[in-house]
Amino acid sequence: MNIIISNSSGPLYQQIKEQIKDAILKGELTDGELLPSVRGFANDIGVSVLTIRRVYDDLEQEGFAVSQAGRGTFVSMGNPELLLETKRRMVEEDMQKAIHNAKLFGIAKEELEAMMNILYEEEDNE
Amino acid sequence: MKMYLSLLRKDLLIVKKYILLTFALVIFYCIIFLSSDSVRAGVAPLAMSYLWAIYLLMQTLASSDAKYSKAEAVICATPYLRTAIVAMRYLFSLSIYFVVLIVYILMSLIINGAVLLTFADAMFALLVGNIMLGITQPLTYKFGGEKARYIIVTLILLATIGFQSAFFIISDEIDYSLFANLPSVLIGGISLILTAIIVTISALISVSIYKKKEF
Amino acid sequence: MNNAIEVVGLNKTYANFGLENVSFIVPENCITGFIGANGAGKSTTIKSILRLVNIGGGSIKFWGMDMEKHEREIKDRIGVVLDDGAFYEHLTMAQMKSIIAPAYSNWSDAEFSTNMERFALDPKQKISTLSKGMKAKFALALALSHNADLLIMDEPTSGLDPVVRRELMNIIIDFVRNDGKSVLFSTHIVSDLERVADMLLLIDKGKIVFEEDKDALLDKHKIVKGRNDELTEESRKLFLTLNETAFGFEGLSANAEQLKKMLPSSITERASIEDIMLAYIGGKK
Repeated sequence: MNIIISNSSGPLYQQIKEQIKDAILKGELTDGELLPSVRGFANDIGVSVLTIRRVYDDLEQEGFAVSQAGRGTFVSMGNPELLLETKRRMVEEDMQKAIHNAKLFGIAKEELEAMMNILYEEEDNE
Repeated sequence: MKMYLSLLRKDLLIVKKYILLTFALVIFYCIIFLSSDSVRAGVAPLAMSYLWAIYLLMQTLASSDAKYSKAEAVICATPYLRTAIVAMRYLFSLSIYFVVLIVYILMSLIINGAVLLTFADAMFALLVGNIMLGITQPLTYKFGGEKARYIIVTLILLATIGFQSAFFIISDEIDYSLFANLPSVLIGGISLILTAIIVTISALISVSIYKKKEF
Repeated sequence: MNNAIEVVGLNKTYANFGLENVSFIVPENCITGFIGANGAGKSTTIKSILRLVNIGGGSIKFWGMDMEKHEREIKDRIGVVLDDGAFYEHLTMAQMKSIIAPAYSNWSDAEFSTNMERFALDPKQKISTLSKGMKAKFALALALSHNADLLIMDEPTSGLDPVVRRELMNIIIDFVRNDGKSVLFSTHIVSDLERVADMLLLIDKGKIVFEEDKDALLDKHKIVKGRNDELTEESRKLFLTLNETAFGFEGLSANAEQLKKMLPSSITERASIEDIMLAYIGGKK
């Protein structure tokens, strides 16, 4: 898992959280895998432990991780529906952006659909 | 227990450079006075040695406290209670007495072949020294080594001169039969009790001063 | 998460200076950096919580325990490093240790030996012959040898070269890796904290200016640079410090998001902790 934070893309804890979620959704982090220790993680990426703790707390609340006292925080895809939900939502968001732009540029729905089909096939063939 | 002993060791370590000097001084006094013929010579060298030993060592402690106030601060930042720190210093001065006493007895044996010291003498010397200590310690805690030193030196000079002169002047006029009739144990016992009272009061005052000390 | 230290309403008056209503929290398992200009009150605050000076009011608690009532128990768990010269110069390190060690119920000679070796110090060496850096390491060795849960350090790195400073910082990070350990350290070399601090506490003229998570602080405050012609009265107000030259402006703001909208052609950059500190205590508009 790579975590790269930039100084100008919004709050640090947000960036880290999103990147971890990404990693989980893409399968880079597996169910039950131990996330790095709070202090070690903080030191490695140069943020404060409070930030990492916040990230882990949020992840737990959003159903992506579970923390066990004394052992650490583990990836928990325990709620498969929630996971699916999130994945769907992510795709929806991207779709919404495309639709918004399409309307802006005057591209009709049919053309949009056609574009999507082509691109989907292209990806499959790659 | 070990904790308190180490406070004693602390004071010892601080004055370690002056211990040899103190011994020399005590021996010096003993040589001078133990060879004289005066009947009551017994008390004088012991009392004087004790006084000067106290002066040297306690002053050293005081000036080291002033010089190394940060070290003292570190010690106060440890779990050592301020009360214990003061109490152990008083105990340290008490142990000075016993060391001086032993040296005195040895010197006496070497010079005179005998020890002309009664229990009353020993306790009286203890009392005299602790009157001095009882006054100077709180002063030192309150005003610090430097300022208190002037007061203390004056007091000691007065005390030793007055003490010595008093003996040599009035020793012929005092009716020693009075004292001779009182058992040495009684005089000694009274001196001891007075010492205890003075030391206790002085220590309590010192503790309350030290508790408010700022670093 | 318990708090290692909780101070409320600390007051201390000297002749020409004083601590006014100082309140702050040192959270557990964190490194809290205490910053401020010289004379701002850092040392006084630390001395106050350690009862090295008398205070004029306020409550001081360690791990929920009141300092007044549990002094010995609390001090037993604290490792203290005061700035240099805190030793009897004519003694050896071993002798100094023999004075300090018995005060602590959890002192470990084995720990001490390990630490001394780690810092390459010979216990038989006289303290007066030690360099500043070695004295600092010795102080740390002592502080780390009795299983302390809290390290309180007052300017531990002043006067030390960057290499030694880096070493000390690493030791501190190592210390705080373990559960239940916390660190409070004051310094005016703010750059040391850039990497290691979790919480930042700024004091100026005896008052606490802010107490914040380092990352939150860095997220909130940004340096904004842009064209003079875009500045307006309104946007000027959002700056903590602002420097306008013939070629453009540069300033620090706690409202970088807003400014970005008001000044579309401006650029935003990361501010250093020192920049932020100066903005609050020194550089005025």
